[in-house]
Amino acid sequence: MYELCKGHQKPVLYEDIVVAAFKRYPEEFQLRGYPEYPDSSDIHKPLYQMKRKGLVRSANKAFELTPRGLEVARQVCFSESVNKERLTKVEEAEKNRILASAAYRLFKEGRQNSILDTDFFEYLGVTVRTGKGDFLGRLNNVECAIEAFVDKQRDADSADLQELHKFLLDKFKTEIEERQ
Amino acid sequence: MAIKVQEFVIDEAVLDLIGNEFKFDHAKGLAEWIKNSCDAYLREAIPDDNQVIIIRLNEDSREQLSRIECIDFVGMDKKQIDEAFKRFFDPMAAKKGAKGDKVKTLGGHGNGGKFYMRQMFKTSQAITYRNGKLNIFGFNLKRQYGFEEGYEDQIMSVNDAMAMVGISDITLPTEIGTSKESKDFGFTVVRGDHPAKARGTAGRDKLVEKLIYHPQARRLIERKPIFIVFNKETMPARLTPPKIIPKEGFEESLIIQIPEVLEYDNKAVDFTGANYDWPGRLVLRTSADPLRGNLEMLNTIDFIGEVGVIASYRLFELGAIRYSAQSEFIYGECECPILEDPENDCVRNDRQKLIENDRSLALLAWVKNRIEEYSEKIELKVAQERKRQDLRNTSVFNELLNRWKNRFMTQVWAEVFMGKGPAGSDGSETGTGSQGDGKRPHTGGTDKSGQEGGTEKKRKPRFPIVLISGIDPDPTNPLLTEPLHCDPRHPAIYRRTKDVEAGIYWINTSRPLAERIIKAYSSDSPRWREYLFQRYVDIILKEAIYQLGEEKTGLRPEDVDAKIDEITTRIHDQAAKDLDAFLFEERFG
Repeated sequence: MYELCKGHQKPVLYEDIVVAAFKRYPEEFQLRGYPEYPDSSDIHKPLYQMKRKGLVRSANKAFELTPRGLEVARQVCFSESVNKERLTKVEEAEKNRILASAAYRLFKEGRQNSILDTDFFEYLGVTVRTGKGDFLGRLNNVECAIEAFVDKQRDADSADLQELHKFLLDKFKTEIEERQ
Repeated sequence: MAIKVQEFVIDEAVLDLIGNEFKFDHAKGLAEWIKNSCDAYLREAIPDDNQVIIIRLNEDSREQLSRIECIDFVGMDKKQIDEAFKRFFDPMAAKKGAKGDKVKTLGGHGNGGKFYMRQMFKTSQAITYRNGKLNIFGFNLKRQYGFEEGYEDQIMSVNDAMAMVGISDITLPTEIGTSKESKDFGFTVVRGDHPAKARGTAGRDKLVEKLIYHPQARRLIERKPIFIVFNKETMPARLTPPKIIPKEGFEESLIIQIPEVLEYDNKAVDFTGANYDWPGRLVLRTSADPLRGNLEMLNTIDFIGEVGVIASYRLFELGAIRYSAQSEFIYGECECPILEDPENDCVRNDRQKLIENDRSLALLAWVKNRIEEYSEKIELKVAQERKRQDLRNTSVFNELLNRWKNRFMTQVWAEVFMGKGPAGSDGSETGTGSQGDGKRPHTGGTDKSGQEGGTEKKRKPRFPIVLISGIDPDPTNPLLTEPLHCDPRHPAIYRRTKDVEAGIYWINTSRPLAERIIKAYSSDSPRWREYLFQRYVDIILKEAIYQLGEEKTGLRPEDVDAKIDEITTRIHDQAAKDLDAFLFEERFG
């Protein structure tokens, strides 16, 4: 996928992914009994698993790597090492986004009870209409980012963000459960 | 250097010094007598239902109070008078002679009732009969006390004793557990003659009214058979506390447990201890009417220690309360046994206010905050009701717009989106290909436990239903009859997860702009109707964009821009034809 989108956040058609996978690894992605034809069924499941992990988004049968998906793909394709001291660009952007959110502001002001469902969606970077897969993907991405803040930064902001995240997961448990 | 310990010598003048501080009115004084009578019953382990107390008020020819009496049917013997009644400032006075070791009594330091007798009447007496003997002990004109000559352990029949005291004509309430003929029968009449004039309690009616509202008496009147009799009347009438009808929507008492530790002045203050394992609770109640005028005494939080009321605070005495208008509907009580902890006693001699220390101040601040929160809830409810009134015509407007929107969307979706219904609840993710053009294979949904919610679909209307917050009940929860209220911070068009599934949009009437329009122009105004119409435009545009997302891969900003222009133009053209009167007439409907 990373090759197909040339390292950019760009939608790739499902069919193109199936064909590209077949061309590169014909043994693994051929239709049983018809080695000259690709089999799409082995592509479908991992794509949706990646979606739930926040690595790809899909719309209208096209898939695109998310910013975190691109980061992970780069690490896989080019064996990039992960800097264990500094936040990645994606993690940094995630942190800044959360620090600017209404949920964080209210939490810092001690007004946790005023945090609304819409604030929770904003915190995750989704809306009430975001599909289940994308929602869970964003949740996973935010969780990964929070872990990175705590592991790499160990400052007061990171502790606050971890506490806020825990609080929101508990307060909006049903919103999450409905999408799992 | 060792001293030879002497008994303390205290001059009687100290009684004047302290007595002046009591500042009695007669309701407060009578409450002290009632408490003493209740304690007499408690010492004998007599249940609440049999604790008969009769208040008798006598007037002179000018209808001024000339005598006040409090009668109970326990009685004291001379030993009790000597060991308890005679003693001032004895913290155990109320417990002396109790049948059980651990009797909890209402009285504290044994002063209130006696000071009332001494300070507020020309002369006063406790006439008491027990075990066939009559004792009269009282204060004279010079406020000195002692036994009445000839009435120290005077042997007498019960009938003679009652006749002598002037209570033989009173019909005794049936609640008294023992009959006159029983050897256990006794009585005490605490009597004050020529009461001092006290503001607000000079006349009998005012005194009774004040008594039934008095924090020290109110609860006793509620629980025990306490009667009133005037002048020569013989049939006592039971006193009943005022019936307070709760505020609509706040009928249930709000019970809040006191935390084990409260922070005050950067210190942690404990509300449990070795002998106090329960921190207590605050009970808040409401009244349908504001507690003003003669009900103002009820706008109070009573603090209850181990048994009785140990302090009372009018709500304004707790400090400036936000939503003070709503706090006028609140009253209640705070039970907190540790306030009576002898090692950090918060109870004053007169039981009006708590002694100020970290514990009492921490509790008072905590109570004030809870009252503020409750007042805020009432304020919110009142505002919601006001808004419901303000929005009375909006339902009609909304029905009209809903019908118009369905007609419009049917036509436009047929022309612009080739007859497809609006996008699914999760837009691009049904995975079943039902919205597709048939050219591409579907990529999901074959596996029911699969990634995109499977193939099950909930039935929902073809076009979204628009509802108005603050007016319409939540159709996803038919058991709720109350309208759904949005938060002012919710977006102007609000949806919950279940609304998406049910195809519902809420117009949030709590948004500041919506409130401003209703306040400035009213909900009948064309301005408000246009506001509603604009929200419909928002909803139709949202639906159109999601529909576009269903159809187009890799949606670009210019695609969205073009679609907004197209749909908005159509909406405006159609509205100009159909909604002229709705949008422009000063009066509509």
